[in-house]
Amino acid sequence: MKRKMIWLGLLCLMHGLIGCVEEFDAQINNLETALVVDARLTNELRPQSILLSNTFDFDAIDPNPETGAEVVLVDDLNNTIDFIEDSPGVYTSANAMQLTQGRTYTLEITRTDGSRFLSTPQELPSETAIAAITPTRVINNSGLEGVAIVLDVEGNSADTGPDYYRYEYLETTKIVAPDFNPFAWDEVDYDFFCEDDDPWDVTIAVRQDPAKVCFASANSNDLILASTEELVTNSLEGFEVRFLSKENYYIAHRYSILVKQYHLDAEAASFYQTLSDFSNNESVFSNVQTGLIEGNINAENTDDLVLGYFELSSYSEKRMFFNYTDLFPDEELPPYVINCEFASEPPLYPEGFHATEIDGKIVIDGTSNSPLIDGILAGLIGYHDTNENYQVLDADGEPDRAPFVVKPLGCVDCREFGSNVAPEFWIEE
Amino acid sequence: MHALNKNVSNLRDVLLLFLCFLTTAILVSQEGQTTVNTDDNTLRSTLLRLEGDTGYRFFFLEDWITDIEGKTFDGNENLNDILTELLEGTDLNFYILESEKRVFLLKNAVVYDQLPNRFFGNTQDSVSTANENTSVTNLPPPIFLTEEQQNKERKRPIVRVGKSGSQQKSRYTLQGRAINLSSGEVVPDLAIRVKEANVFTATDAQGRYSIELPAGYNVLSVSAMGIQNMEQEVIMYSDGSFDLFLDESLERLDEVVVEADAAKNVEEAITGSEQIDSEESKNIPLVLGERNILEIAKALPGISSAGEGATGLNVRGGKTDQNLVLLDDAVIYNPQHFFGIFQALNPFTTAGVDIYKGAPPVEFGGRLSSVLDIHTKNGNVEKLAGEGSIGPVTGNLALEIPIKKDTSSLVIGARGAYADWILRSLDEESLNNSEASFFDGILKYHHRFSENSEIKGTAYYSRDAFSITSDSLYNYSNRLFSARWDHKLTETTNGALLLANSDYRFGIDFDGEANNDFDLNYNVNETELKYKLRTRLNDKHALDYGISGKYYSVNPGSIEPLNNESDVQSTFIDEEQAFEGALFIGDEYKISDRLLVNLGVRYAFFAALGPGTQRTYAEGQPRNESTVVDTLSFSSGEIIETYGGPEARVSARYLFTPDFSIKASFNNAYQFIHTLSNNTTVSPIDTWKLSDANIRPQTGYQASLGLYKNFKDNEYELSLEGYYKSLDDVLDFRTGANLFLNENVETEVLQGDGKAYGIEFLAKKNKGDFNGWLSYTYSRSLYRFDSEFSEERINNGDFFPSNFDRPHDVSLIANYRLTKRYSFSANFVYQTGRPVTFPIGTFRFNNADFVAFSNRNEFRIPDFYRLDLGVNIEGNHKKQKLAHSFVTISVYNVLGRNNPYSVFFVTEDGEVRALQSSIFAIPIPSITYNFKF
Repeated sequence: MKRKMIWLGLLCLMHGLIGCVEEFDAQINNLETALVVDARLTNELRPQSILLSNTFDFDAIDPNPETGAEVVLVDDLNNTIDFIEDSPGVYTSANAMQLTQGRTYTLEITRTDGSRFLSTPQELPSETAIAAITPTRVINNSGLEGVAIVLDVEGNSADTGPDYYRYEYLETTKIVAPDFNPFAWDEVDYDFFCEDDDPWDVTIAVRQDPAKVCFASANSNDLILASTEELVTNSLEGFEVRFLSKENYYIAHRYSILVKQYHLDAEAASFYQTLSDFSNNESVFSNVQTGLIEGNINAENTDDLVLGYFELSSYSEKRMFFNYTDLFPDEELPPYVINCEFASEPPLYPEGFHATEIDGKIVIDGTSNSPLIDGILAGLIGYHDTNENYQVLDADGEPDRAPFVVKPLGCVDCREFGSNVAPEFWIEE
Repeated sequence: MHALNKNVSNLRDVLLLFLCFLTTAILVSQEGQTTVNTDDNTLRSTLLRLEGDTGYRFFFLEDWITDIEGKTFDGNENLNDILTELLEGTDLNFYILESEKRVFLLKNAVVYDQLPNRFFGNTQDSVSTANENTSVTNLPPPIFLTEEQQNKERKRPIVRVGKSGSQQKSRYTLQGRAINLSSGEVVPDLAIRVKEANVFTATDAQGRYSIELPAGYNVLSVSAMGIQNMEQEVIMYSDGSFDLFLDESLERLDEVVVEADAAKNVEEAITGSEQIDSEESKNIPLVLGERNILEIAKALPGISSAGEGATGLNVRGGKTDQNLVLLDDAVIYNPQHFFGIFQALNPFTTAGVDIYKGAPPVEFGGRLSSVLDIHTKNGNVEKLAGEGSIGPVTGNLALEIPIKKDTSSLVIGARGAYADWILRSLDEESLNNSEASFFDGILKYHHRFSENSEIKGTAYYSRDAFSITSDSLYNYSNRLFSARWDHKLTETTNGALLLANSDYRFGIDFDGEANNDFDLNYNVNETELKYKLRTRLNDKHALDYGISGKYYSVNPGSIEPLNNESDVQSTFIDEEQAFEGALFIGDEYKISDRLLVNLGVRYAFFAALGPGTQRTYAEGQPRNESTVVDTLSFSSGEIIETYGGPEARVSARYLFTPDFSIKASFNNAYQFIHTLSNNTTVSPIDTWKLSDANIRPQTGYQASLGLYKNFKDNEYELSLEGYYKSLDDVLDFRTGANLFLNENVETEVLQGDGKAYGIEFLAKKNKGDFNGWLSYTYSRSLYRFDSEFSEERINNGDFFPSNFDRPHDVSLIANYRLTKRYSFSANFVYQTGRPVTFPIGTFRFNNADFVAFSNRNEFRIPDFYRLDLGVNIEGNHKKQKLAHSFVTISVYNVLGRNNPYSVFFVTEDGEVRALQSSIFAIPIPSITYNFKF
């Protein structure tokens, strides 16, 4: 008994310390709104955009764009670049623009109410390239086996201080439909006799569009920060930008990742670090004091609150491909996006279907929907096979009502999860 | 031959007319003893001569007449005159029974040979009886004891003072000395009160006292530090003297806070002082059955923490770094284990803690808010003693080993958690890689050379190690040594020489996949030498004075690669050194019996010392990389910056009655060492930073006023105390500050001011089967960080509530002893939820949604309440057994209240989620087995 109690007590304790975190409904009203400046410009030669929005309620899905503002970038020689609002809250430079190393730039924003916001002058950090991206088979901190995408970065030897980086990625996967079928639904006739004197009918035909192999992409949405602050060298080695579990369908066949590297200055890095600290799950012993994160933009002629950051960065990117079998030879592939194990046979006419002729017109007076056709029209099922027992009478003298064997559409047609057109960058081995 | 007449009187017989003796009397007849040594001029010989000369037989108790001088008489005088002359100045009376030719000597009393007037009622005349030689016209009224007084069980006999018959007064003066029975020393400062009369006094430096007592039966109640409380029944017949022989209290031997201080809360001058006895607190149910005096401290008014399981105490609205926590005179930087859930002090070796929330004694300084003076027991010098416990989390054993009988002894305590082993045994996979263990050990030696000289030495070590993820291991440890020599310099002066060294360190070992494996370390070390003296100048003045010096050495952090694959750069932030010194003097000035004043001044001095570098920043600009003007280098021992100033410690007490007083105090303080933490609650990896050229010392002022009243012989205590505190240059940090391994931490530091005020109510029942206390505090704690630069402001430079501002705080601790073996206890806490910073909404940045926080601490988490219950079952009370044992069964958080510890907001997959965490959300039962031998 005592032993049990001890264990219970300890379990509670550990549970309490490690896991007793639960979601709650934060009853917070938006007390005041503040301007949010998302101005991240790079050294690339292209039209670039600055996003202006406002803080928004927890319940709201999207922020309110800040429209009608004047957005101007001014360099230390008083050259200006105007950003024109091309859609609500999105301000884009009129032409392809290029920032110059060694210049300092200031962002000026004027809202329609006349309130002005000014950034502190910023400079473009040096260009640094990603030396290598390597997929590595690892077991991560949580004990999961998978692939870590790790980077090596050679710092610019001209830089004196440590280097700071922010990463984004675009990952692309090749999806292969496990139950691809060269046939697909052709004619689906859901109009009954009363309309065209023709009963319900579904036919199949040879598929026109390729649907076996597709490609899906996703952008990162986490803050991925790295620095050489604590390192002897200013080169990063083995920095993990992405971890994919061995069970993740993204790496099932062939996977590609484009890592986008933004080389930042220390101030911007510190801003992102704080943002990250305030947004991450914390452990029991760190309970970070949160507050307004001071960026580098300040209200000029009002006391208005402003959030966000004006970031100048040097951009570089690198792409890498790998196959599942490169890392996990002779191992079972990760499961498909959805479960394709079970097939079903939805009837063309539902059980209890009955029609009566009234005044020369046929009226359906029983159950009136076709499960098969409904499924097809809703895009839920795909053709898998033809039912050989269709209309064969069973022991009760009832005919089999299902003409086809079907599977979830995604199992048959990969376009459910991606595009059947290979992206331009895609290279097969 | 001695004729013994053992008359253990039933004192009701006093009402009989003749020959009544008020007490046990042993009368001695000197019958047949006729040879007298004429040289022997004692009363005894004189009486024997008289017996021979007159033929009267004398009856007396031999004890009564020793040391009384005799006289020579020529035989012609009247016996009555002879005896009157002979016994003058003594407390003996005599009664001559002519008819039988007997003389009775009587101590104190008078023989009433006539009834008082109207004895038989108003209508009857008094009955005349034989009028003997003794004149009765002036006889004082006889002293009768009530039935209750007669039947009382007595530890010590009633004392009779003076003799009846001389001048009759309603009050007589009693004087004498108070003497410690075991040491023979006089006892100064002994409080002497007369029960049920508003009369009290205290002994002076020489142990002398003088007190006016009503004639007749009185009960003196005496109490003093280290002296067993005693009641002495005294019957006053006339003015006289009586020396009080007093036992030392057991508590003195054990160096535990004592019963004798029952009225201390009323009588001492300082305000805001509290005491917790480790042993007494054993019944109070606490989490997982671990005794925790620091947790109990939080049940006292004015002491709180940021939350359940939060490290550190907040005393009267002060920050957690503003408490001076001393273990046997050495600073203990982190007296808690396991994120503050357990105390890092062995409950069996700890005697108790004295807490000063107001003006502390002059010898203490260096922290603004409080002093927690924790002392370890002195070991048993008679025989081996031990105590141990087995609980769900820890095992604990403490031994007291006598080294030399009655002289020296060693205390050894060791306590460890076996959580590690259990964690690994659990099926839960995610916990298998976790580690959470702690250990603490203590060694104390004390040696008494003589009554006048004693040394004590303590060594202590505690260590915590824990890992939450598999790639990092955190650890922290305290280590301290202290030595103390107490000695008596003169009759009136005692001195104590103290040497203490403390070390606190923490580290993180990180062993991950990338090239950034590291080993990170921090430590702070201090050594203090202090000499303090106490001189009792006279009855009115007692001086405390001394000097102290402290040397600090702080390693603010280092990081090194853990292995060859790691590219982590070894970084060592320059060590910091400093000297902190103080000169102090205080006078306890007893202006009158009612008014006691403590006047103290302490001069605090601080010097930040080289080697080191210090940046200077442009005046009138925010401190950051771009406003650096210069970087100054200092060589070893060179003074970088000095700070200091006088600190006042003033308190006064006025007694309205012996158990009702009003007190006021004022003090100010400097603090030269600060914690750097950007957590809302304390974390074990917070660092301590010394003041330097860019970080000024914190200063504080506090004034308090309180009323204290005890009832029913100190059984009940009531107090009401209010305070106002103002703080300057307290530290906070820029939002998102990076404090660790930051060479220029001053660019992240904000220094602002704070104010705190509150009113504290405490009702306590100290004795009886049902005891405990109820406390209620209303308090506020507000801080302000203002600057002309927005980046150095918090909440637009307005006052905002601190993280531990919890206006309403109620604690109830109740113990009920049902039988000698079973007792129950309960602990209830209610606190206003602590302030937190909530978001004002969401903002979208870099394709993800983040939380936008606005003003600091604008919201509060829900109120906190918790009830704990416990049962203590003592083993049987047979005398002959190996060990005395008891079992504590407790349930923590009986109500299962899910008290949120913190709330936070997480961005996951670009969306914001609001989360709350709690430490103990369900009732937690535990059983602890304790034994003692």
